[in-house]
Amino acid sequence: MATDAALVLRSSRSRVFWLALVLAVLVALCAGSVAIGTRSVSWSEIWAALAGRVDTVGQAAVAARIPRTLMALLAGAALGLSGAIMQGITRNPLADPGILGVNMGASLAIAVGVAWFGITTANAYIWVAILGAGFTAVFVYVIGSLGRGGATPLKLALAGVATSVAFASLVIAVVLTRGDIAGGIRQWQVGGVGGATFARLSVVLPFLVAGFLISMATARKLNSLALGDELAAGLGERVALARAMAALGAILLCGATTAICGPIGFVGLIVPHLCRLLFGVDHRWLLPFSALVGAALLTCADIAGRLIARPNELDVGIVTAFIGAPFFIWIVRRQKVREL
Amino acid sequence: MTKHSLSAHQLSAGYADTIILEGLDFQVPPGQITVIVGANACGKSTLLRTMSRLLPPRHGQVLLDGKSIHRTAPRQLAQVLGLLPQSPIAPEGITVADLVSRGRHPHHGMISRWGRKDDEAVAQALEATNIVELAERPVDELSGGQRQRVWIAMALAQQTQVLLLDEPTTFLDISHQVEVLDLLIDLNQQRGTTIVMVLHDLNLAARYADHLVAMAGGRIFASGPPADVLTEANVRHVFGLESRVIADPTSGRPIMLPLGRHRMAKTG
Repeated sequence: MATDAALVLRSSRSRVFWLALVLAVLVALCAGSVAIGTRSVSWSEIWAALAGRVDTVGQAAVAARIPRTLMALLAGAALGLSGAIMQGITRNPLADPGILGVNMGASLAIAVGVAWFGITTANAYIWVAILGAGFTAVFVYVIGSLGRGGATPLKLALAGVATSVAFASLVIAVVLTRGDIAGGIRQWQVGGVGGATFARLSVVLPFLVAGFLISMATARKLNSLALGDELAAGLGERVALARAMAALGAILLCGATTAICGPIGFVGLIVPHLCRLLFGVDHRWLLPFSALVGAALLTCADIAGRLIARPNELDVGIVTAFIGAPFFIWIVRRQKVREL
Repeated sequence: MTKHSLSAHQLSAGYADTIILEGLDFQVPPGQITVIVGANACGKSTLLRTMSRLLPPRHGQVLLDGKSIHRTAPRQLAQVLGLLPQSPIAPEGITVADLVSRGRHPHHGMISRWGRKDDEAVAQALEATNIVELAERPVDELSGGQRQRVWIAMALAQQTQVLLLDEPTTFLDISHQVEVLDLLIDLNQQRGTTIVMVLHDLNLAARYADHLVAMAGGRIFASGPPADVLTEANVRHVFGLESRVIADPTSGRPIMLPLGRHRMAKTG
């Protein structure tokens, strides 16, 4: 009993320590994201802009960085969390909204919506993206489950990547004939948070909140799914329902994020792995930490993108790809890609 | 302590277009150890899966205390009926204590908090399986025998009155097989837990069962005390194997010696 209580106490203490550390890093990154940009601004301009004044060009630049920072935080949290959930549902260490093709499915749906149905509002973008993401998730899972052995990690990843490539070409095919929308779609497809405004934030926020709440409610279900479907059922879990509910949360999160920011890859892959190493495999901790670390990673990548290519800036989707691709290779090359 | 009654009535079940169980009747003796044996693909695992709600029956029903388990809320059922499947998955890096504590899952709803009762159940399970000193170790690092004890500890933490186990001794060497079976007897004697398990080894089955069930062709061919079930005639029918059955000098239980085609002493 004594050792048991000590164990629980120690692990929760170390988690509280990590929580404090991650929050501190997040605050620092927020400050950095507002202060650092392609244009150098003085501290007095930053303070003035934070107080709501936009008299100089510098102040205006800083004012534009505030919604951008919030967008990076939200998008990062959504992608990190949806990655953690997708890895949990599929027991697959390679699962990620980018690799499984879900983000590209959302993109294709938007490209089709814009080109053929003339959608324009952010709200319509989000609904279309969520539908596309949901359809693609089911499609990839079915393709990856075909044949012997069911949905193994590599088969699912292959099905996802292949679908992703196919959908990316379809996006080009849809957009190619439409010179009027091609530029906008192409820019959106790189994946960035640069164009964020408070108006767009307010449109996407309800979807993210809903996705976040649904996702958090599935933490205990994911813990039992992690032990295998049979044992999960033996522990009283309704396995199919648990999967569907968690998938709904993840799809809301990455669909809504893709609608506003474009398909941003690899955040959902890297973040849950990092969090499992640091905080363990209990989804009740893993999910909130994945959201926080995802927010930190994307904000950090966004700041880096502004610094690397001065006086221009690199979209955050490109930066995460640079960080994420080697990481993906590392995971695959580890001795065996075992199921989670 | 109330004993729960578990029984199958006219049970038929299978996968896709193959029927494996056909009109099977089975009464689990409460508070006893029941061991199911039979040749490969005779329906042992299918019976266990149907009796634990993993597989819906085609016909007939499985009753727990007179109520169909397929019409009982899963969480409610999991508080009474536990299941250890053949190959559960240990998440990479999970510690023994964390894994064992997941056995408490059915005792919690969406919002209920981990409490004293949960701590006690986990501590008891660790002690009963003799793995207290492993509590902080990652499950990946353990030997096969230790790992199987961890899974049994998880099932114990679930604190069910009925426990079903699908080949709990597979992949274990003989000393660990005996260790695991002894542990299950302790559990049965100390808590009165009703145990139903599938075993491959006929001699271990006869040694540890109160009630031995031999299956063949999706039906129960013989059941009762091991001495009545493990006979040369039954082995011939169930496994298609000629054998000698003699009494084990230590336990008095029957043991089966297979007669192959070679290496036979030429005595009358």
